Amino acid sequence: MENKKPSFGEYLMKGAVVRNPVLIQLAGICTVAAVSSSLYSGLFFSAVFTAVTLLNCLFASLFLKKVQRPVRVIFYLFVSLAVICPLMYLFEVKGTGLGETVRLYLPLLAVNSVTAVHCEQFAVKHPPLDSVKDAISVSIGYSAVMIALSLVREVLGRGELAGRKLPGNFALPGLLMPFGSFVILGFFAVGLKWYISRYQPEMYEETAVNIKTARLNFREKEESGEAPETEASPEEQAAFLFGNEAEDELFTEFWVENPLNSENIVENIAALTQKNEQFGNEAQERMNELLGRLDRNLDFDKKDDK
Amino acid sequence: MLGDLVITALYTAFFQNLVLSFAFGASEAVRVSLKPRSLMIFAAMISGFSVVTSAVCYPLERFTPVGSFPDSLRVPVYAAVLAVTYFAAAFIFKKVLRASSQIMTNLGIAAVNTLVLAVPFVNRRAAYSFAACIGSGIGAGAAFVLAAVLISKGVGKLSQNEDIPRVFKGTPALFLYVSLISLAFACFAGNTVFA
Repeated sequence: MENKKPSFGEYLMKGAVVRNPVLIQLAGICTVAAVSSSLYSGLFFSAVFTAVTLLNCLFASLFLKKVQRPVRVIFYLFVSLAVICPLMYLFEVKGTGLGETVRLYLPLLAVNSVTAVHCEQFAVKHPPLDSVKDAISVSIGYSAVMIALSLVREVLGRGELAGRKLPGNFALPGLLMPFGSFVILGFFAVGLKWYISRYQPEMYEETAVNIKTARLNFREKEESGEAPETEASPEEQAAFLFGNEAEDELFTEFWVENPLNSENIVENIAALTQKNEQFGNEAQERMNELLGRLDRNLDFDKKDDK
Repeated sequence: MLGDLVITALYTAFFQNLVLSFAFGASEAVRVSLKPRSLMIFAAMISGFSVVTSAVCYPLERFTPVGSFPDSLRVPVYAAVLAVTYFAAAFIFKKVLRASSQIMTNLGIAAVNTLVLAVPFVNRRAAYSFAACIGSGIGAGAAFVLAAVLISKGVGKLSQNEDIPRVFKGTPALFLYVSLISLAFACFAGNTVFA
């Protein structure tokens, strides 16, 4: 089958909408919740975020593929600071007053989780052009949330729009606190999920990400007496077999590529054992423990010998 | 000195919870709360990094020219302190403690996040003493634990509630729940919510 590359529209739909970094992936909440109190600061942070993410993803895709993960994390920090510090310096030299909140939170963009997540999950595994497309789509998703949130908070929290007082004397200052951001983000997330369920129903399941829930689902199936080769998703299987370890790239990739079923269970776990002995053995033990309760046993060694 | 440390730690954790009142490290708190098994170790790592970063940044500010630097130059210094601390911790975890790849991943996330990097800035703005800086680092970890535990418990209840409408399930319900806890902390601090 021909392996067709996704178009930019598909990147955009996935990165900005279905897997929106803030509303669905729960990343970058700190800056979004704290600085989105005026439209100008929202626009400013969106622009800086876009520059930081683009540069980091490009850098990661070009130079960091062979660098170890613990070291890459620090690269992201300093690449981001290469954008942020000159900008801060420029403001300091020009004497343009950055608000107290912006001065505190701007450097924190250097450690925002959206950039790190996308560099790690995508950029270091894909060519530069694809990484740039992903970075643009993610930045659009982040910026859309940031700008919309800033607009709503400024209007409802201050009774202003872009610094101009609106008619009437309406203001709820509580909405300018982080709790106000969380409330509004909650309703934005509702709107997004409604949109996806209505117009992209085939992607709706992708909006629900919860390893703990996945593990519980599988346990419930186990406790209800269903065989382990249920129709649990590969992520559920990985979560069940490895608990928190399932978040490791190796497991996720492995189990998504090799979903568990009654025919291939032994082969899959044996293949995983070859790939990574420690985790492969854990998987064997876990699966046998589960099957033991169902009065069955799998002989992994026997299968290996074949 | 001990009094300073304890009071600042309590203040940072309960009165002005850095996570729920200022949203520092909010993403990490929310994401970790979905994986309760790694919560405590993650919080311990955050506390460790916050304390060490605070302890190193204080004398740097006090006894070297860093104290007179503008913010644009101070930020890379804080980042460098954080990077060195992280590499030292990574070396110990990898070579001495033979930590698993998952723990090494958590270590990276615990070191490089908005909560840990914000602590030296908060210390400087509040003109904390050395003991208070250490207290602030410990309090940051405690604030993180408190926030993550509260969120985790709520998420557990929310995921079992079948009455929640479909589009409110998942992240929307989570955000609304976090907003309520955040509102509670805003009120602890005596903020005017609805003037």
